[in-house]
Amino acid sequence: MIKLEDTQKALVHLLQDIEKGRKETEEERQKLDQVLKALADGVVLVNSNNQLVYLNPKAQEILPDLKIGDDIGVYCEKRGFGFSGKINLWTMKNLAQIEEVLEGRINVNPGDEETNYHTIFAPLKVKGAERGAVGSLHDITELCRMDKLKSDFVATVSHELRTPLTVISEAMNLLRGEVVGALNPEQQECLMMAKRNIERLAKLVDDVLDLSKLEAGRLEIDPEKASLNQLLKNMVEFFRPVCAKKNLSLELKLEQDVRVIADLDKTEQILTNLLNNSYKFTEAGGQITVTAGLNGGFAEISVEDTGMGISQPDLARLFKKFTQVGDRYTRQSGGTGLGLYITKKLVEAQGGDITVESDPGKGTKITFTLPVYKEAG
Amino acid sequence: MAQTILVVDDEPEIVGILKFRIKSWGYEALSAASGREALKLADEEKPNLILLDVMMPGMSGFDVLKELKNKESTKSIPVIMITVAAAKHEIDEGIKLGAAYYLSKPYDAQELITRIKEVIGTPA
Repeated sequence: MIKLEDTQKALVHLLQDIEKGRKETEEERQKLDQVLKALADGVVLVNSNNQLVYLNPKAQEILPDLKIGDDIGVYCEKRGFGFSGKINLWTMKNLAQIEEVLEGRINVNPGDEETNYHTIFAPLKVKGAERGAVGSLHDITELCRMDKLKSDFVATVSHELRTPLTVISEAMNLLRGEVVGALNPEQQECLMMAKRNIERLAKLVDDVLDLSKLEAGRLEIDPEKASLNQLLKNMVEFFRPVCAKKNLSLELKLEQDVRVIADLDKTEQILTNLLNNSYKFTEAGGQITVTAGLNGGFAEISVEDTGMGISQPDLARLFKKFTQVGDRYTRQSGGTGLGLYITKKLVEAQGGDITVESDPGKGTKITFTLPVYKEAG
Repeated sequence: MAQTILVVDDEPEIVGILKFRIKSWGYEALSAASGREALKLADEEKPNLILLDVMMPGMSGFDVLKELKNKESTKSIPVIMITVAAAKHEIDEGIKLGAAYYLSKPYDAQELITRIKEVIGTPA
């Protein structure tokens, strides 16, 4: 038989346990609250109705007029926030439905393109509780300002470099053209050396300027319909005398002509970069082959050489900024390590893709694609 | 007398080398270091062609081009724009405003003389 006294004792124990549990939960809650208050990043919680249920002091500071209970999507729309990355107005209106962690940028001040917050939203799934989402906002305004400053600086410096380059190069052209008097062969040779290096410097300035435009999102693409075969023929003919000087054979293999949608200047730049690389890294007597064909909705253009090839570790970072293949080759061939990075960006800006295959010691093949023009209807 | 070309650039070194080149081709050369000066000279001297820089302090090359084309006495003078790092929209802007050609710096002398000859012919 159960004694009343035992039941009472058990009850007291149970109540004590509950009280202890409550205290512990309260302590945990307070700790968490202090952590959230101490954070330098804004934190927000939304419920299944997309309404704000919590925001920490930093979030309140970032979004001063946001109140508990506000629909966060409606709020963002009203304030005219800008978005990039995987976060946009649609996701902000459907936060409780997100299935994965989303990352992006939110600009909370439409008048100033640099006031950006790096933002992460993650689904909040607690057993037995309604769904929601948790978001964090990290201030990257300073970073964006620095980035803009860097781009502006690079653009200004490049501009300032071009003026003296123009004058030096013109002055040398006048001398070389013997406009201002006859030159002996040694003088001509000296001027040739100077000219080659001025061209190298000018190329560097061009690359850096391209880079600053790419990174500032100011690269303009002007697509038009063009015959791919004609474009390739022109480029190869332009390069043929250069290759002949180094005793490299240059072959062009074309299938039926394809009309592509491409920015002709940018595509020429892509081909020039690829052909220059093959030229630079292939020894006399070698072969460069340019092929073009159709693959699905894309034209595929390859530049293949019998040069020294690229090792596996170098392949992985080939299209990265300031990358040169192997240190010993850098000294051998010169260059900024910007060429293929810019090339990749130029291909991608036109909706294409670029890949590389290489066999060290045997050669390299770089293939890029361009969208094919389709007649409407 | 040979045709006269007015060179407009705020960089004296660029003006110097361009004048040198133009004279070596057999044309006469004039120069202006600012937009204001260019407009005044264009009006007074009526050059056969103007080589115009875009980025200049005060009045930009576009401003100069607009005024030239708006003025009865200067609107028929052909203009070739020469600028650094020409962006597509800039070239379009220049052509829309009435420039005959748009060349980028560092300019190619061969291209420049080809364009000059196209616009005003070989030196008389």
